[in-house]
Amino acid sequence: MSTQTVSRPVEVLLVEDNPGDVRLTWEALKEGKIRNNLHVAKDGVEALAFLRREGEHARAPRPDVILLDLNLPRKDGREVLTEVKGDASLRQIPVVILTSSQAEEDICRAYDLHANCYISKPVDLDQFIKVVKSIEDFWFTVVKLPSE
Amino acid sequence: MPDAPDKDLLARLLLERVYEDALFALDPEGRIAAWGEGAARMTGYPEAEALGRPLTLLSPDEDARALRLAAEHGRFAEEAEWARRDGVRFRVSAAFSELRDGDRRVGFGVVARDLTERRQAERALQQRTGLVRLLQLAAVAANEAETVEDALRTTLDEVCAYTGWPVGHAWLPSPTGELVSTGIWHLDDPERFRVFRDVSGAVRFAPGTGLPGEVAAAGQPVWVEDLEGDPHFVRGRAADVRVRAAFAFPVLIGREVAGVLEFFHDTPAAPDPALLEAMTHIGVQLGRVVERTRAREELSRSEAKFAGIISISSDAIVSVDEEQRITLFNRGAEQVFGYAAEEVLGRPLDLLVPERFRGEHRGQVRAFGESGVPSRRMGERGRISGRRRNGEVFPADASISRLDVGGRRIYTAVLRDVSDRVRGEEALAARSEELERSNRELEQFAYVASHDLQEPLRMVASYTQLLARRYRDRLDADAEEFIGFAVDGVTRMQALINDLLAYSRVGTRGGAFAPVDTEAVLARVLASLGPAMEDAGAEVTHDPLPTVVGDAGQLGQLLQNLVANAIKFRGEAPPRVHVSAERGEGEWVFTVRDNGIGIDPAYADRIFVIFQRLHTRSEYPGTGIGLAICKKIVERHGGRIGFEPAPGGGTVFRFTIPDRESEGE
Repeated sequence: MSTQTVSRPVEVLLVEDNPGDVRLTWEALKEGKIRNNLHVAKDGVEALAFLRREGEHARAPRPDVILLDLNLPRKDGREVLTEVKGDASLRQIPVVILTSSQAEEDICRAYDLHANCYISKPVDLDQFIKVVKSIEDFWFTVVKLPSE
Repeated sequence: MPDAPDKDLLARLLLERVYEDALFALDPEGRIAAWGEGAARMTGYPEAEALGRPLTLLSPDEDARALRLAAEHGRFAEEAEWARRDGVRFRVSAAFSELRDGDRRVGFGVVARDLTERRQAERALQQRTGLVRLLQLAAVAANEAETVEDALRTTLDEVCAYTGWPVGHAWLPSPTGELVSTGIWHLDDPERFRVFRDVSGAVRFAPGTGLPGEVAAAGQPVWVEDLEGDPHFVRGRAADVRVRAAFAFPVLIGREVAGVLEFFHDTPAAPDPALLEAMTHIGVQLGRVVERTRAREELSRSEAKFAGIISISSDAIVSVDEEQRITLFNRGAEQVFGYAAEEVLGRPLDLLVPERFRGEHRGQVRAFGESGVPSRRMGERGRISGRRRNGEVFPADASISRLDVGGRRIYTAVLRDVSDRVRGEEALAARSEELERSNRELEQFAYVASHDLQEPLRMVASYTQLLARRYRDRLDADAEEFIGFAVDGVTRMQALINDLLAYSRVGTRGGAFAPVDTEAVLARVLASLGPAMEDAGAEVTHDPLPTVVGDAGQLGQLLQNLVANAIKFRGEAPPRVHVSAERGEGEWVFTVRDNGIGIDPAYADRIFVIFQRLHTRSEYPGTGIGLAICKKIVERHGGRIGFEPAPGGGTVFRFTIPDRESEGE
């Protein structure tokens, strides 16, 4: 997979309210091999506006993958997931749940809502970078299947 | 008077048809000249044998005095003794009339009346009247007597008065069934019968012995014409008893002989069946007195017992009549309601019922009265509300019963003031609810806190590491070390937080209870511990394990923690762990035995407390959460957990899981 060339950068939507995590994700993606455009939505409402190209997001690209934190202001990750998976035009987009919560309840709920992957944010930077890399690998695997 | 009847015919008919008296005529010489049918019946002589015979035929002692006096005075009447044809003598009242035709005497007319029959009839009538009177007196005595003794005394006196017998005496059975003198006597002449009285007082008669015993055994009256020489009359062996004739009769309740009355005469006497029959009736009347007295004694005994119970009862006992007026108010009621009995007796029950319950209460008592049930609990689940004198309303457990006494209906309620208990129950319920709420809050708090603590921790750790990564060539060895401590601290803190989260989740995020095959659970646990077991060279064995009702996930965690502990705290020898279970009383007792370093029993209290450690982290890493979680899981299942040193070193952990039917939670 690593041999496959990608003609355009991968569009990543990160739904995350914590600037520290945003920056970490950005840093981790920077160390990765894949060109990417990281878009950040600070809460669920903004994330859905981005996905539906509403308001200032009218020209937003369709993300290739959504990295979704569960605990968000205004509209939390679960609600975002429910709406994405309930929307025929969006449900194809792979969603990776990325959260600090290890609560089983969150995990179960996320799988019930058909998240494609659940990854808990590790406390260790090296692990975090591994996680982001695994998301990259994951993306290559998944996105190839239905569409291209 | 052409229609006047023929005088000869009348005379003839008079002689033929008048039966009741003897009518006949004598000639001037005193010979029988005309003989009526009545005379033939009375004397037994037919006309043919009587005609021409002198008056001495009928009246042997007649010395012609009667006829002479009749001739002198024209008429003479006397009572005399005549003789019948069969020789039997009988008394007559005879009237002789001189019969004259002008100056000439033509004879005598005789009318005689047999006094024997009349006397007998009179006596019989007299006797019957006397017996009836005696029975009436006995019946009145039986009805009016306050005690059996009164009734016996009156009866003895009445019977003696009627019969003229001088001695009457009563016997009553002792508890052993022997007849004992009551000491109740009728004695016309006490001094004369003193010996007999003393002798009678000194003996007892079993049924079948002596006169009273004979009566008791037979259940019937007995008459003895002459006691002299009667071998059964043991009292007669004493000198000077001075009694010769006796009769005695039983006091009867159905077939039970409840006493014997005896009467004595100082001369022999022929049996009088009519008297004995009357005595039988009197015996039955007296039996009613005994029965009534017994019932009254029984009643008063039980009343006394009941009254005692009522008065000492700390329960309130309140009776009302059909108009729901208070008729009984015991000491318990005084204490509970705060009224003195005399304040409420006769007043309506509403006084004791809170206003808002009055209508309902009346209806319920009425409904109870109409139901066939003799007693039942009152109110919902037996609890009603009462009202004290000071207006305070209190809860009470109550039952009500109904009693019909002499056509009147009495309702009795027994109440127990349960306000203390209710207050206690309420306080307990409030406290346990408060406790539950605070536990829930605490668990919620721990859960939220540990979750929210993760975020900043990750920031600290990640950026410290990013710093190290980006600026490695610009930092010295000290800086590397400091970063190392910082990351280690954060890592441990995260472990603590995760443990705290796990601990709080035992209570808040537990699964439903269902039958769990603990042997299968252990198998899964051992599979997941595989690498750790391999590293330590551990061997885990087990007996057959039961199926219990519980939370499969938590039971797995419990076994995992205990087995992992056993492996972790190992000594020099390779760990050997054995898991077994045996049935206890209503529970399963699980045992996890190891050959590890053992635990000093002095720490028994501490090892199950969260974050308590007995060893330094460098010896045995860990936060000290494992056993605290074990304890919480066991307690959630309603069991207990503990440990003891294993013989030969190591530790035995024991926990119980209640053995219950699968019922969910």
